[in-house]
Amino acid sequence: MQPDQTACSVPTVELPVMLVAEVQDSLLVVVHDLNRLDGLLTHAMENLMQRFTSASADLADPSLQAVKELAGVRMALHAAVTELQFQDMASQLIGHTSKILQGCAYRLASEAMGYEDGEAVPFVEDVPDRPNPVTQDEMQAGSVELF
Amino acid sequence: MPLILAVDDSPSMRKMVSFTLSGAGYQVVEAVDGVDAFEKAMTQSFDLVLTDQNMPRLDGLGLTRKLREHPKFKSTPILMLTTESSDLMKQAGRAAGATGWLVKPFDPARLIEVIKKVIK
Repeated sequence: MQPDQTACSVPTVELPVMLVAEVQDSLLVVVHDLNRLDGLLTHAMENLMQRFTSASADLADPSLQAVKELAGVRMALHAAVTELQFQDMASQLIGHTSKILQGCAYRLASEAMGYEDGEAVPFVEDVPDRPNPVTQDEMQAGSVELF
Repeated sequence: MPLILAVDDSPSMRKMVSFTLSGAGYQVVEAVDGVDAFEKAMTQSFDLVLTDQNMPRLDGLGLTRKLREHPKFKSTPILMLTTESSDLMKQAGRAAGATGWLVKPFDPARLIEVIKKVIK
């Protein structure tokens, strides 16, 4: 795998086809697993939201409004709204990362092996050319700016 | 009771926003993306639009520009609620005609505070 600078001005690296194929397979497996993870998060969130909505509705019952002991429970539920936004952010992170990995996998294969005449070229979504839209590292409330 | 149009492609986010706003006495209409929001905005009047940025079909900036072109929404507050936090995006929001920029995740009390401030 010596760098070859004789063929053209752009340095190139020769890789065994099998290695490229294995790397592509591994990248696609990761993309598939990320999609599964996204599905699990979505499913968990749907159930969580159902329970959250049901608990909130129960607490809104007029007959319970006077029960002082439940004030803390109501406050805890309201406070959980910030953390319950995790699925939206996680999905965006996963989606962005998946597109990049998938783009890398197909680009690696097409650059290294190309496509034979008549072979169907797989449809690949555009690889995002900008940073991940989710920059937060923690589930703390974000900034507010009025123009 | 002020009417708010809440736009987000994420069902869980729409639910969180609706839960927060209806608990504070606002009426909420939900839209799943910019196109859906624009269609709803053309059929009724809203006191405020709260929109996500990254959505299929029409994003938050595109929606804001389209709404601002319409006389009915010239002065309606439009708040962006998004994970995007770069200065470049905020500048684009301002140029599109947004009233403010809130970065997700939102704090319910702070969101209500901001909405009270911008709804005249």
